[in-house]
Amino acid sequence: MKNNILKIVFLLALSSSVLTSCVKEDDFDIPPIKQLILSEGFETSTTGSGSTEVPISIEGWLNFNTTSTRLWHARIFSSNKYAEFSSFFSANGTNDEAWLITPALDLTTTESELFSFDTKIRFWQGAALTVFISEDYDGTQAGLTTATWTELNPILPVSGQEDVFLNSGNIDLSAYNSENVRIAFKYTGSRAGVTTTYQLDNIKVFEN
Amino acid sequence: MKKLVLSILFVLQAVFVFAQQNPALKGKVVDQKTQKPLQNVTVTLQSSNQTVLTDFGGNFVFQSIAEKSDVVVIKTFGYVTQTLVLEPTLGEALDLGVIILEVDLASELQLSLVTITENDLGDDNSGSESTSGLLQAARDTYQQTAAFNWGQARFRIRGLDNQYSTTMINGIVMNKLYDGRPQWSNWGGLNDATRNQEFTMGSAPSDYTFGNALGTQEINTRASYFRPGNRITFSGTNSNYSWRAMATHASGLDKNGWAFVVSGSRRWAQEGYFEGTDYGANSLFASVEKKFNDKHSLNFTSIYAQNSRGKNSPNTEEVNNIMGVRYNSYWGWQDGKKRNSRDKDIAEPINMLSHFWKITDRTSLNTNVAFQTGSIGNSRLDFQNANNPDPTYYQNLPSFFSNLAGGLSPDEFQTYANIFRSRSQIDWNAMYIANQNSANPGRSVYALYEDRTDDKLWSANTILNSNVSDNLTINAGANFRRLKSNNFQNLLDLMGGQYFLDIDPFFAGNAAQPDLNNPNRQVGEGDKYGYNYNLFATTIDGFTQFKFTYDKADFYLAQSFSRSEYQREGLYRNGIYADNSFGKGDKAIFENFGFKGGLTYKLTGRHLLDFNGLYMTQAPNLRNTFSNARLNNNITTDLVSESIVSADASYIIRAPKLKARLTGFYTKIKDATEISFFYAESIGDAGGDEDSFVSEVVTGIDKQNMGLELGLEYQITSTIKATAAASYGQYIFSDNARLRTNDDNLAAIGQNPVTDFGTNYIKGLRQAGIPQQAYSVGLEYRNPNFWWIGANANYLADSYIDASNILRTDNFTIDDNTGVSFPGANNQSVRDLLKQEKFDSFMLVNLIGGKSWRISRKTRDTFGFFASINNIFDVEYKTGGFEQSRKATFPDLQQDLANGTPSFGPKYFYGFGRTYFVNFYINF
Repeated sequence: MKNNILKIVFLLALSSSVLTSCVKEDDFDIPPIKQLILSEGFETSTTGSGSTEVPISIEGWLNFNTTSTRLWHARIFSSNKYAEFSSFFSANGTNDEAWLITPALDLTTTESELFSFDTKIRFWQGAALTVFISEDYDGTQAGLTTATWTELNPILPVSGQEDVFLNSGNIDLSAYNSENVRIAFKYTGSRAGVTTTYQLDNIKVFEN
Repeated sequence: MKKLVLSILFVLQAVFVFAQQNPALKGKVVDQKTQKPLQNVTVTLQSSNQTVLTDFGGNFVFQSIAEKSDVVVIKTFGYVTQTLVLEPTLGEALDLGVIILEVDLASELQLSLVTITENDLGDDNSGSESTSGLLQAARDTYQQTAAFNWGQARFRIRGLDNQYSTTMINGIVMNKLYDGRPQWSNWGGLNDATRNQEFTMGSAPSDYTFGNALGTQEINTRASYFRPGNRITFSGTNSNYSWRAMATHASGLDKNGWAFVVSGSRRWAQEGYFEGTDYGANSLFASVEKKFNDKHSLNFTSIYAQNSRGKNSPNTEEVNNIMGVRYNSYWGWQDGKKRNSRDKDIAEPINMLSHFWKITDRTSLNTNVAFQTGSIGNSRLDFQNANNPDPTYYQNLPSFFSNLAGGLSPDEFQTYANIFRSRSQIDWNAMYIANQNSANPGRSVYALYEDRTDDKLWSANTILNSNVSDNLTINAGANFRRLKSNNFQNLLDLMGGQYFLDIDPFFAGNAAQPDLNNPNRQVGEGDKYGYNYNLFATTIDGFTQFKFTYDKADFYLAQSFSRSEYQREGLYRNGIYADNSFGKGDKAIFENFGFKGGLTYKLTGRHLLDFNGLYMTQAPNLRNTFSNARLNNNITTDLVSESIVSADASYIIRAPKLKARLTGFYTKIKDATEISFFYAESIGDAGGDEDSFVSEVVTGIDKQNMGLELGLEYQITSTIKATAAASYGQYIFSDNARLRTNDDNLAAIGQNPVTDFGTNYIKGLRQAGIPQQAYSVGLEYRNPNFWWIGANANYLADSYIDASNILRTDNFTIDDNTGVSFPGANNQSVRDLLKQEKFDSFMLVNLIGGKSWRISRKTRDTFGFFASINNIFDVEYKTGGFEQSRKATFPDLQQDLANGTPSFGPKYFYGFGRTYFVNFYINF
């Protein structure tokens, strides 16, 4: 009797331990996926040259100047297109607050995201670019002031780092998880004040 | 009375003896045919597992046995096992008298069938590795089923490669230091001469070695152990070869203490089962023993087995669809004959001197010295600044044109398929003509060479066996091996040219020189070129083992230690690696140890529980120690010993009618290393689309093998026996590994050739090419008039393709230029592309039968035959396959698949369709 119980316990333990610890066929690892959520190199934009400026106009992107008329515009150099702004060509006596804003990004499906872009400066006269992120911006010019903008902290070129594109570094966006994430590049300058030229390229948001 | 009935199986005797005290048991075992005594027959008391061997006179004695009813089992290989019931009431010496053993017809079958699992043994193609030769003659129902019925489908017991078993001849380990696997061809065709074998399974104890996780096989060649007589067999089959002839003579021990055995065989085929696979094998065996006195005996064994065979190509589905699964791209017509460009030639004779010393009745010492030398060659075509001669080169196939044009109509596809059909074999004539028209007169652009390995191996061992007391047996052993292995490219055939230039035309300048010490050398037939190096290995190991035997339980403990020392010596100064290719490199030294133990608990004499556990570490083999051995002295980065944990638990029934075993097993291997070579695109950033020949080094591989195995044998009547076996396992990679590549292209332009690809995402993938489920049922009828017939049906499932490692790294999904995934790569699309292919399950039905006759009543000589048909229904099935690594990124692979017929789709190996085997034998 004792032996029979021993046998049954033994056989049950043996079978169940094997059957329960099996791994399912679809349960295998794959290399990581890093989805590109936003990628803009301005390569499809029409560019201007000299005093002809063609404002950036890309589906979903917003381009405003809240204090004057000139806008972020596309340029080309050495076969590479980019977005540029400088107050140097603004009318005397005007101030510029020029906003270039990404389309609304949906960051709800990804766990962790990174944001990066390249910046080139020319004719340094002082810093003019700040970069913000918002989750409640409504996409209108009027909404710019009512939305909550959080300033990001990218690496930006300063005096002595002119004439080459500098990468911003990867900025962690994992704290933002809504369907309406917008990133804004804000140029603040004036004909009489800061006129540094800023060029933006390779704006990317991607899965980490 | 009931016990008497139970015990009438074949020839059963029940013995009733009445006596006073101290019962002892003795008897004498003779051959039914010759009536001569049989030596070294094991006689076991089932209740206590007490075992003795018969002596030269066939006599055995148990000094004392328990005063209770018991079963004595008398068995030896090649004979039907005898089971006798004992009823000693109050003991006195119990004499069983003369016990007659009858030759087992089934073992005739086994001895002859061994060759069938020899198929493709030791092939260097992935997925075509040898099956379980380990099991050739084991007595366990499950093991027999695995070997004879599942072996053809490349089933491997517990999913373990045979580098996790130990194969020995007289205790000398035959596993190669190079890759850890035994080279079965070294004694192939000598079935009769290597019939004295002992097996252990899993980590169960062997008297000769510490062993490993899969088991041990010990072949004994001692001349006096052979049953005296002559045996001639002749066989015909349509598998690897067509014909086999084999003859063996064993003298037995004469008055002066001499015994000798000679055996020879020849196997040959113009063409085996697959097209263009020729076969030629000649084997010779001699063993001579001189018994000086009761204590000392010397034995000399010489084994020469030469084997040459044409290999069979694995093919993509596209090629198989056009040409059929027997198609082989390696051969071509020359002078009206099929000539195979990929031959494997092996001749590595073994000479061994053995000393047997019976120190006392209870203690013996066996010491052996062995020397093995010879060569292994694998031939291939070489070409310089000429078209690839491979008929299945991707630019010759319809898929190439389909992918160029972005898809083809069925008619267009057929047109290209017909072009391929018309050029589907190697064009030897075209290569001869190309050599004649060479831009440099006399310089061959095509040549046939072989990758050669010329080994010199010295081995020595000594094994102690001592029955210290009735309850304790001690085994101990020590082994020494010293290998010098010369590896080089050997030019075989200039194909009409005068010389071949020893350069690598893919490179320029110094990098193109395989040997800077002798640049731009003109080489002729029989010359070494390309690469040339020695590998040296020195290993020592030892073990001790203590086995305890009691009425209710047996248990054992064993431990081992080993030390391995490896070194490479370059004989050429390679132009790419001028600084670390010539002369001796650093030594790689590994020290390892192991422990194991087990317990057999006897619920009753017929119901047992058995447990075994093993932990050991194991040095990497030579192959994985040098990451680019052909060209430089580099030792693999991060190379460590692997560790093995193994455990099994069994429930065993040994009733007279029913024999059954159910085992649960678990093996975990950690930190294994694997090196492989292939052509790849899109690896690293050297040149983008350039094809490069790279070696892939994967370290930190973790494997987990677990499952259940069942063997069952039931004697329905005295003539009908039913068997059943099942194996349900799961053999996976249990964690991710790490992948690096070594790319000579990078070294040639002065960069670090080693690229770290980081994590290799293989966790959860299945170990390839092994049916992870297998089931078998069989029936066997034995007529008392010496004929028998049997049939079995086998279902095999869950075998997987060998997944490409390089496809399962960041490189596959992440674009180096952008740092993000390639367009279209998302969780679902990547998962779909990387899903490991599972081969279709299949059913194999085998029929088998035989008969034997006595030639005369007087001499008891026999003549007999048996025949088998395997895979009666001619089922087509894959035995293995591998993903190609050439399209190493998501967009490349997706593009290759875009038009339905990839240029670099997986390649497959197929099993034999319906095959037969007919064997005639005469014993006299």
